[in-house]
Amino acid sequence: MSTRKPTAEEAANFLKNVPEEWQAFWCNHGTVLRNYADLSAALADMTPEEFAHHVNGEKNDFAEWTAQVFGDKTLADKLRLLSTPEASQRMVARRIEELTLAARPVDAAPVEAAIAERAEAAQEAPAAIAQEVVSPLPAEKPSKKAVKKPSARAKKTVAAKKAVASPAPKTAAAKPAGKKESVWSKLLKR
Amino acid sequence: MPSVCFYFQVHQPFRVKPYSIFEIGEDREYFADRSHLNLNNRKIMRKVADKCYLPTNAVMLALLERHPEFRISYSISGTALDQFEEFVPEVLESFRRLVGTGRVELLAETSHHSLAAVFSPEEFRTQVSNHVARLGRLFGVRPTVFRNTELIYDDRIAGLVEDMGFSGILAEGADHILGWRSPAFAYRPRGRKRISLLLKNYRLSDDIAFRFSNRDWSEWPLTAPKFGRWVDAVNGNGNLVNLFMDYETFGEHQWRDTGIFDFLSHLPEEILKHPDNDFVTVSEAIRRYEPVAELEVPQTISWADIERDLSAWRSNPLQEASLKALYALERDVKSSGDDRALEDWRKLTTSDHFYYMCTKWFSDGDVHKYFNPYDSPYDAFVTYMNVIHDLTLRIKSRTNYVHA
Repeated sequence: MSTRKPTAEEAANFLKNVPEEWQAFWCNHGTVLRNYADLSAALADMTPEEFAHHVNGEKNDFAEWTAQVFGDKTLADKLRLLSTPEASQRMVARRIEELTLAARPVDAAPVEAAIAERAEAAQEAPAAIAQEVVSPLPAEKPSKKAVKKPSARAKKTVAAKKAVASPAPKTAAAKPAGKKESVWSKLLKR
Repeated sequence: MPSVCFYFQVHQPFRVKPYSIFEIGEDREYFADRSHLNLNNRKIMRKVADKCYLPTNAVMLALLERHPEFRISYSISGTALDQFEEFVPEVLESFRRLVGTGRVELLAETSHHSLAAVFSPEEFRTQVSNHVARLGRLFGVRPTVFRNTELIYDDRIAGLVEDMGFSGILAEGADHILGWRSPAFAYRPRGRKRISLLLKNYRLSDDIAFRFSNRDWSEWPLTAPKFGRWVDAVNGNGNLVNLFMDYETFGEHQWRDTGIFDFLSHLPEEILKHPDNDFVTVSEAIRRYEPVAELEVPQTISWADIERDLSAWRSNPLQEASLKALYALERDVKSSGDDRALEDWRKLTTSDHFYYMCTKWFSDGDVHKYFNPYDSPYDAFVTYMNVIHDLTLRIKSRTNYVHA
């Protein structure tokens, strides 16, 4: 969709609520939208007449809002090309998916969950399982170098495991407060 | 915490009586129809006073006594004040009682409810100054907030008004200028430093002003508790619910038998049921809520018709020709030294004369027909131009006399 992939920080900002109350989108039919999810939901329910109040030959309020409030020129440019609520809703939904993926920090929580699950099942020490989960290579004591910089293969595997373990987006903030950050978390963070 | 800001426009024009070509040079009493027609200003003012001004002011005074939090803002045109003084002084007295509560604010405007802001900045400033001085004489107040005729507004007009020292100006919360923004906040006119802009919440305002008695409306009947809930819904989404409308909504446009007075009588208590709601006058709104952003309005807007632009007054050749003829006389009438001719000219600057010439039947035909006392826009135009011709002759004869 985009010509330039948003950074994680940009993506996270695009997915937030508007920073100020006055920056919310006021739909003509009374709904107030504070974020892209609200926009997607509103477009899904919008009648053509309600949509035409905001998108017509002279203007596209949705595009203006995403550009002016969020600074999301990519979505704004795409929305400007669309003239139905259905197409606009699909475009917003796609943008949300794209931004969610871009904003998702590489989170060790699913990996740690998998380690704990395996350890419990196998009655093994979590440290031993950890190596197996992260890398299918035979377990061996990782060298200092390897800890600092996991192999490309190891990274790929983590990503694959993560995708299975965590279909829904998670953020670091979802972790229990006060939990000590693991070495893997630190290493795998962008 | 939405603050409800009630603002009412109080206006009656001096309608031009039937005036044929044969009366040019013979009759200077342009506004003195004595017939049974809807051009008889005395008759109309009496009717509107009985149906609207007196009963509504009584309700408002009772509400102010019952609810210490209640606030109202009015703009009363100079032509309405003239007719109150001449035809129904008890109406003027009832407005004085309202202002005397200290919780009713009067706004500045052009004395003759004119389009001078569009056509003559000099005449605009003069009419505003005259009106401010008159409000001081009649009510002992000095307005700090301005509202232009029919909420006509653009960036240039905001500049004129700020330069005159006003702290705020009202405008229509038109879709095409707000876009995604909300009318529930104060804004700063583009390029201005001091003046605030308050925008009408046209959805909620028009629910009362236009849809209240419409039985085809899905929300009919509109009750005070229901409207109170709609106001509550703004809670958390904005600061202001600006309910701007014609005062004649009460009793004149929406007749008593629609229940409009019962609705009005109960509305403040319903709004005040929510502990976060309150009422503000326009200047209180401006003091309490800082502008959140600049708003650019390069094209002139108004609160008239679906278009929310100037097309109610200048969308056909009849209107353009009469406006051109009117403002072409400005310099001569002002230099003639004829105060009566100048006052007649000013009465002819009232926007309603051009509204009556509107032929925009396709979109707002019913509304225009309702407000038009003439049989047709063409009749309104012919009558107006005959009067302009007479006034031109008066000025010319005066000028010739002075020069001789």
